[in-house]
Amino acid sequence: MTATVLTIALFLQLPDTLAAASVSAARLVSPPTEVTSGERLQRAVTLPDAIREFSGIQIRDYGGAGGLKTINVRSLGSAHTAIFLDGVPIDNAQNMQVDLGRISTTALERVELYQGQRSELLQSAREYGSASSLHLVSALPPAGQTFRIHLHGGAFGTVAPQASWERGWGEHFRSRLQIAGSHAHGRYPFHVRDYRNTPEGMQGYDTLMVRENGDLRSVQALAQLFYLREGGRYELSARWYDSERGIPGPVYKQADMYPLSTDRQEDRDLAVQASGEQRLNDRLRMLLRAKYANDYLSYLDVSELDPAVEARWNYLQQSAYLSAALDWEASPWLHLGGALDGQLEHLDAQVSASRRTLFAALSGTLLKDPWRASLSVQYQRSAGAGRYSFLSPALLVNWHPAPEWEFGGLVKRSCRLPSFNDLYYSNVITRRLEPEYVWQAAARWSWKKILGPWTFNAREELYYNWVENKLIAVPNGSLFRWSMYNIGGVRIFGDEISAGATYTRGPWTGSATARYSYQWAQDTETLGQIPYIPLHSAHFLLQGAWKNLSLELQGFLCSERFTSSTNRPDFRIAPWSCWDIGLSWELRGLSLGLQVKNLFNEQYQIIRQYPMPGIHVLASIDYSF
Amino acid sequence: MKKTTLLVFSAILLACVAGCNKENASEIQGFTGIEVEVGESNGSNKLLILNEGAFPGASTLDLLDFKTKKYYADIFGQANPTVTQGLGNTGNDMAVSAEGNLWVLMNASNQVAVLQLPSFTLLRTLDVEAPRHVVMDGGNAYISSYGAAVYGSGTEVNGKVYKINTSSFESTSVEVGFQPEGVAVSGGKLYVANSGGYNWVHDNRISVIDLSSFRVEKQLELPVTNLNMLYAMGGKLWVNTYGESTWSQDGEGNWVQDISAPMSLSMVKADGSAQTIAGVHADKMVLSGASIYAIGNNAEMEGGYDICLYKVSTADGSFTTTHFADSDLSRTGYAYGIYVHPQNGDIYICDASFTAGSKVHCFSPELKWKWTVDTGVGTGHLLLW
Repeated sequence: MTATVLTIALFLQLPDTLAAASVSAARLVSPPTEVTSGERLQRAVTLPDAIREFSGIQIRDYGGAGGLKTINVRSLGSAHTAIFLDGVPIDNAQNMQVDLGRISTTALERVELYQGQRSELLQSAREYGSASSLHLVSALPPAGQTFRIHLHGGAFGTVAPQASWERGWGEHFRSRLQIAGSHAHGRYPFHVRDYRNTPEGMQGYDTLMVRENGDLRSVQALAQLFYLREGGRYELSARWYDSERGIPGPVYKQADMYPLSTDRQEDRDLAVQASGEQRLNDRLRMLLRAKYANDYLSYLDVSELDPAVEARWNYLQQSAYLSAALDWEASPWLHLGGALDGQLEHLDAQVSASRRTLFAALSGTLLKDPWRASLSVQYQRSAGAGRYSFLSPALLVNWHPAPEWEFGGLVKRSCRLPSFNDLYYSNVITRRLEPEYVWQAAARWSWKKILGPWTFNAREELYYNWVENKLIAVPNGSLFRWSMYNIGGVRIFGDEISAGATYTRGPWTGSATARYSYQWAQDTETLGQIPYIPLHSAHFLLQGAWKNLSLELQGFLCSERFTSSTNRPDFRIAPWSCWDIGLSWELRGLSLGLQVKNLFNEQYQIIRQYPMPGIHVLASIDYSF
Repeated sequence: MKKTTLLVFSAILLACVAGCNKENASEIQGFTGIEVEVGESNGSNKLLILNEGAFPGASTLDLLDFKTKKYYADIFGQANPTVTQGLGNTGNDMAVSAEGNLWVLMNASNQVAVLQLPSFTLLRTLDVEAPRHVVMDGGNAYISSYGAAVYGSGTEVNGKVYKINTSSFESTSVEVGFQPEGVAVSGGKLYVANSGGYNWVHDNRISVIDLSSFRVEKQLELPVTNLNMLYAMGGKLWVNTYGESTWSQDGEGNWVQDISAPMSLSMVKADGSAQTIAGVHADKMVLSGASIYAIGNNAEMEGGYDICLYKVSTADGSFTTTHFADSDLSRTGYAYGIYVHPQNGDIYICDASFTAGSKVHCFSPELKWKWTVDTGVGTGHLLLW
């Protein structure tokens, strides 16, 4: 395998993510901001549950079994976060909203969030271009043979079975086959309430309603083949996702005799990707990646007043992607890299749109411990849906002066193109849309200390983001239609602080972690906080384990938000807190889990008028042999 | 702290005002409002302001009392704090019945809210599918309704007009054209403008309903399509259109909207012949006295932006044009609604925003600015009462 002269840079992780540190890439300039891996990742089952504790992110969640879930990192909007599976992008040219709820975590080894960019020595040109990136890394199947069956269910009538078969074939090949299904009726009770001060005292209403038309049925399959050889690793994967769901829509006043929404959505996504990494000689390594994706979506707009009246909207997106990259070790402390990617994207709907994009990147990486730095520039040029070209330069620096201390920073400019929807479906665009530009600057410190059975750690990152030509998408009646408006500029100042302690003695392990994030995201026109960004958010995690029994309590806190950057009460969404408790037990390949979510039955909304479920219970059983 | 002081002050003031005017049955009582500078009393008139809200946010109803110079925000919510989800969503029109009740059409909620005045208490909600416009005549409310139509459906669904007795609330309906909008009563007939906005090919018909039989008598076919608001005056019908546009992609892949027909104003004579008033781009309009007051973009065909106020004589279709940019009207950001005081000729313009608060501006008949009040979200409809 790859010989490396470098020490592990990724030494500072929160207790729950320590497992990742030893396997995480040793060739990075800066460690990821957040990592999740191991059992905790496995127990989450879906990606949004695995990452929602990450600092500085919002998971936009429309609630329930089939509700769309997207990621927004440091107030920049989901389009500025690139999502990569084994280095290959997962994207959506139509609306740049990747539904994380469709991504299963059971075949993943770890999930990492990087600010700026991941700073691998060998990576594709696209990996240099986003304001932040979420990397999903597949677990390498073991050399032997493993079968795994998994079943979870409970709340919302969820029954979700899954089976996988992993095996090694001789010295060089490993494979994985996985199939998963999910079925849920999606119903849950919620309260609609509002009280006001009146001359007669507090008066108002509190009505119990039931969320309807949130059912989901999905099937997904994954086939992966890995080929390992001297100085090289190759992977071929195919993924299939098929689903049919109800779209419950926002909750608003509806005449008693009619349902709120009867709309349906069908999805069928197919993706095939191949990648290979090979050491060519002592100093040169090469990477090749390719992908084809074919995503079909059919939206059925059914009249709430008469189920016989409907309109069907079909969308077929295809994307082809090819990437080649080189890493040259110019000297033991200097690496030079170059990469070239091409992507074709095509949308077939009532109208069609195509985009051809070329990405080229150059980078230089200094590895002279305790100093590490990388300077890179990405050039992007696209034609088809508007002609755009721009440069994204980035500088990452890391200083590791003592085992306990690490300091780092980044400066970057990046950009995102208007999506096909931005360009057309918004209906309000009458002129050329400009791309969104983002300037980022960030500085961080981290500290870690081991004292007997105790491990302490702390971390802080301060950042300033500046966005020009910010485009904001707001759902307009249905999840699939958005109204678009350009609110000019946004300046974002943020601070992320986390601290944790772990205690281990004999069969006992205990840990406590707290994360706090401050995001001041000001619209430069209205001077108000931009839509959907809380000023304060926090996460608390308490874990305790005795032998093979573990207990976990976590809490999420979020301050008020507004749906418009004019922060008047009409647009306010109330603050919320939500606490979950989880219990798991493991013995010889069998593990049982029980989770009680929203323990205190908080009635809250992440997206305005999309009520989140109250207290609910999920149970799981997992058996590997 | 300031808020509390203001609240206490208003409460004291309110108590005083209420105490001093017990003889007046239409006096606004028991509500919390704020003082506004409107500089006039306009007799005992009050201005009802319907804010559509930013969907899925609810609509609100506000009231401006000229006499006491007070503005009451969300007066429906104040009067009916226990009504679940308030007034409902996307108020589209309102009218006062002979009984003195206020009928508010809630388009997205598929309801009509009937409120008692001046208490603003909810008397009744009536189920009407996607109600659009209302006209009161002879003890009945006539309400146009989209029915169960869905945009882009292969199935074209006729809209309806409901006839609802304003005291007994007995209801009947008759099918008209596609996605009916404006309604007007004249000479024993009810006229309904059909838009067909949800269909691939838009509607061009005015449905004529005989009021005694409540049957569609005939459909007047116009040379223009996508009909919108409708008024009857001077033995003629006045109808405006939403216009027509197509989208195409330019060489660089940008989507460009091409406007193929303007937002026009047409005069329809008794014999069904129609004449478009060339040069009037009527997006929103209102009839007052013998004139139609319309607002629209005079430069829409050239892709420009030149919002104008047109005052059209219903006698002969002659009109005057005032460019917003050249007058006091320029303080309007987004002109989303227009209303005219029937007695003094003052012009009220809704300056709407769906991402911030809106405003209502008042101008004299000579179009000089008089006053402005801050309103709710998406202010679109006004009514003097």
